[in-house]
Amino acid sequence: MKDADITGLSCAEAARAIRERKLTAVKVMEATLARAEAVHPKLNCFIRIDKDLALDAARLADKDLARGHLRGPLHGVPMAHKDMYYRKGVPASYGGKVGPAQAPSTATALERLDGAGALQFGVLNMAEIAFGPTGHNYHFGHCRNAWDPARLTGGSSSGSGTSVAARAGYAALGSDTGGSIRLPAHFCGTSGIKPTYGRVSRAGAMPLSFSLDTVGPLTRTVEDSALVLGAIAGADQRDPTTDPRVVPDYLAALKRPVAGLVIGRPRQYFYDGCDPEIAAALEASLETFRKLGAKVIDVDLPDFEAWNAAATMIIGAEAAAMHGNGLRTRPQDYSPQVRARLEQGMAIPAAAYIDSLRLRGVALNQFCNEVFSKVDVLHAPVVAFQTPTIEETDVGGGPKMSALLAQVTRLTRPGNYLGVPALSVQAGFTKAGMPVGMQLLGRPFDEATLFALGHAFQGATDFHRKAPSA
Amino acid sequence: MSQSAITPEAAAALLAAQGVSAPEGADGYARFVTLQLGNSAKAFARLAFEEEPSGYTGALKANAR
Repeated sequence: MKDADITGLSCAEAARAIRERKLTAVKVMEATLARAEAVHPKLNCFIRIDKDLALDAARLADKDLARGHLRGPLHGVPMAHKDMYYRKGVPASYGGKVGPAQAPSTATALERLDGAGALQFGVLNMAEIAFGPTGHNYHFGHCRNAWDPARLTGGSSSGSGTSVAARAGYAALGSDTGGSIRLPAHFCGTSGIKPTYGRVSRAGAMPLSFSLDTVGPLTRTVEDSALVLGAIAGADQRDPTTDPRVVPDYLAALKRPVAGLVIGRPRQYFYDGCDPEIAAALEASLETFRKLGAKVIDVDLPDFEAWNAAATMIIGAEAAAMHGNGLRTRPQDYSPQVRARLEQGMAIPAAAYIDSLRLRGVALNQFCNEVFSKVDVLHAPVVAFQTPTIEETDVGGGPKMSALLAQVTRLTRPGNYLGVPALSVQAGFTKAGMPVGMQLLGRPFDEATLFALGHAFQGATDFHRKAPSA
Repeated sequence: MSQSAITPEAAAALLAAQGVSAPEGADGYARFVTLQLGNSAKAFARLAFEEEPSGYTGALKANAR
């Protein structure tokens, strides 16, 4: 098999090929490393590639398999992750200058991927301290979109999105506090799951806003998202916010029939000022769901504008608290935009922050009562505008910053506030050839229904099979 | 700026009191906070006296599939 064919496999296909001894882990790792080294100069997606360590790990994986030891469902599959997950004794940059020089422990999500047999070969570019939705980074350089390197990748999991899209890794952990998995999934044309708050442990992951942070993968297919989430989800004593309920078999859920499921199309908020090409792609995706037997109905939404504002205050206040000491003692280590946003958070009144948290349970009950009493999932755009260039959105910490960032996260942030799971799936392309994503929001802990719908959609379409030329 | 808005001077003083060096963007910070408070004020006004942040975890479990 040629290298391009190997890197073009999905995560599930690569794992199967290794498991069935059709490919060695070393061969898959060599092809992945070659691809990573080829695309990195164009996309600036890696912060570090651990070539020798990765090849050693692949050799060990092959030895294990040769003596009959299959580590797990991801045995031998190469992955790189957003550089905010601890690996004991190894630096984590957090996309800037304030990460630890030596991580004190290994993140639970990485331990679980290790246990499932995945092989980490590097760490990925990201927005500085995961506090930026565009992919700009003034420390490591801006990350570039595999479909057009002049355009945004989205963030904060920018390297995760563009490296997976470019076939330089089979899956990548991202994190989603206000849209940071779904946005790069949309802009880069991948799948990505923001799980329910509490579904995946954040232990050993850089905290940004502990009330809203979630950990999840970006992948090329929905099946791969289900596979990776199944490996990392579940209770963890190291993160008391994790939920004790049993993790469903997400791969089995992919086979569930979608005929009869009811999909909601929001009447308010999500389509305000939406670009016609994006609206058309979303409408076409609904037509695909109808052909698959799902029912589509229009639904009224509660006050998302207020929830978006409340979420914005929680992120602002918590991020400012996490980095308050850094702002006081080493402000020069933050880029102007991140520093300005952190300072902004220090002006949020305590009562407003607490009211934002108090409103959250009320909002979730209202959302579930008014929406999920009528539909199984809510279907919506991820972003309402066409993918801009890196240059035209390079506003730094200047006066245009708040409006631009608010526009980018407007449709994703409420999902974090509610804490519900949200799956981003590519729904088409614009005339300019840039990917368009849709997001499916579900009931708390019902990732399985989202996977069933997303997988059925990819079975009926081929957007996810198209590869960028970069 | 309306009378009900947070002033740049107030935002600057808040930050300075927390030990953060005199912010250049106090005007923007004041506008940002005023906007968010305004957008959420009606929702906050409807909050029951007894509501507390821990209610969220209960809502998450109560609405789980």
